Amino acid sequence: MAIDMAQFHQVFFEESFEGLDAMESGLLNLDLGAVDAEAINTIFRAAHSIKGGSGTFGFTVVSEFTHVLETLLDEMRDGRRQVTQSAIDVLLGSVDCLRETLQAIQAGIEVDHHSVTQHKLALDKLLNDVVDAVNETGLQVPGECLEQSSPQDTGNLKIVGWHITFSPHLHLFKTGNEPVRILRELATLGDLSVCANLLEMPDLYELDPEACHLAWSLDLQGRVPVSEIDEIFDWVEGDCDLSKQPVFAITKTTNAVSEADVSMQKYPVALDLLTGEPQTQSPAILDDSKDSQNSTLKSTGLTSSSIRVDTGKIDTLINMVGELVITQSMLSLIGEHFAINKLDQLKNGLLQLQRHTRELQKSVINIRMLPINFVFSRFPRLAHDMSGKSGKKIELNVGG
Amino acid sequence: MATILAVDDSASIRQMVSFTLKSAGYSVVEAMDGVDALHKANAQAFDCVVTDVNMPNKDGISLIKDLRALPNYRFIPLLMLTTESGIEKKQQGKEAGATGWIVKPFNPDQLLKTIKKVMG
Repeated sequence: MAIDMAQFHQVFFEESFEGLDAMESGLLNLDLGAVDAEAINTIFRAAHSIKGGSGTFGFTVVSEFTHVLETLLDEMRDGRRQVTQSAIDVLLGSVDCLRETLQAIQAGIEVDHHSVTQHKLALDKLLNDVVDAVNETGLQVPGECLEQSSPQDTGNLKIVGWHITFSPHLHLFKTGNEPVRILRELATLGDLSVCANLLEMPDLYELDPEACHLAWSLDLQGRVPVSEIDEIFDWVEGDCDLSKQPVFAITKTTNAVSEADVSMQKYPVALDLLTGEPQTQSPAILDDSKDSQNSTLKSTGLTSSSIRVDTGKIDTLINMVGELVITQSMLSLIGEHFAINKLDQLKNGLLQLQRHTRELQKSVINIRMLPINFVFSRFPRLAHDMSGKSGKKIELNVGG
Repeated sequence: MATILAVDDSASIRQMVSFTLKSAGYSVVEAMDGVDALHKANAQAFDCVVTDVNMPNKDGISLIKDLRALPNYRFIPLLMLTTESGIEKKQQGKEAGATGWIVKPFNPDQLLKTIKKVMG
């Protein structure tokens, strides 16, 4: 399905810039002596949203950069990393870099990759300082997973299918998962034969209709990678007993000694992959060719701007327009059948019209007005940067 | 056609999800966070819920837990939008009653494929 993602870009940019403002404000207000977990969580969420949106809309440079930023913030909110002034400075620099990058993308001009790389290096340095410390203590770095081998063709044996036993636990339905859906999906991978196991089916009077009493024995024919089978059962891992046994076939041998016809035999190998099976890697659903998506926009030559308006103000505006329409209808009726005795009605109607028009004007101006905070919001950052550069403490007072 | 509740604090993601699903013939209602979603879920029965995890006011995992406690949502597919690296979140989601997940970032085709997977 071809959906033009560009139609969502403007909203993405607007919410990203707001997110960056929130991150900056949050970082500036962090109290190193008593770090507020919720404040860090707010900063994290903003970064997380930018990462998710940029990845979805193909702005890879932004998503990759924000990923590192998010990792750092995640460690801070989990308490695995101390919030230090140097870390805040690096994060603030990263916020600036992101802002410039997004502005460049929005304007359709070249991104300053050098700046992005520099800031990313600074973030990596911060991250690696902790990783190195962890490695020195011999602790396992979070996120590592063991390399493990999947059944493969070996020698003259080739995998030609799978024998799968699928025994859902009783509560499976309560996860919203449906065995039939899983079997249907499996059937798309190859020829599937299904045999239901009714051994655990209780008597009718004891049957719980909300529990899954069935199990299945499945034979899937085809050279199907185990990762594709794992992907189908990924959602129900832990909610079922699952075993997968590869079915091998002997391929032709070129052994000069054996000139007899080679017969193809299938051996269901007695290899229970569930017993002592290392944790399987979650298959990547992402398509790596996403990188081919264009991360720069063609400049349209137009500068669009928008503001956020409280829905309450919009509701008030709608009500007022409604009142105006009613007043206008009333005056039209008076005008159509005007008589001198309706003069008072006409005067009242005109007074109402005047009042509604004045209120509407006030309401519209109110919508266009922005909080005065917009004017002074850059000062805290300015003060912070000047303080850093001059090495002096600055107290900024904003009053009025 | 089925009605889906799409929950995400990001307006752009909500719009994309909503547009994609509506283009495929689904009816979609949007919610901006877990509180908004719970309110809407109580007011109307949905056939599927797709929710982001990290949201203000009430996160996706808390939402899933609350939805599972409602009689109308005991067996309804509840999907999480989560990053690939969020294995912990996936586990937390499963414990809360999530059906499965859609990995971020995702494109419209991946979204539709996953929704069709659960909706049939």
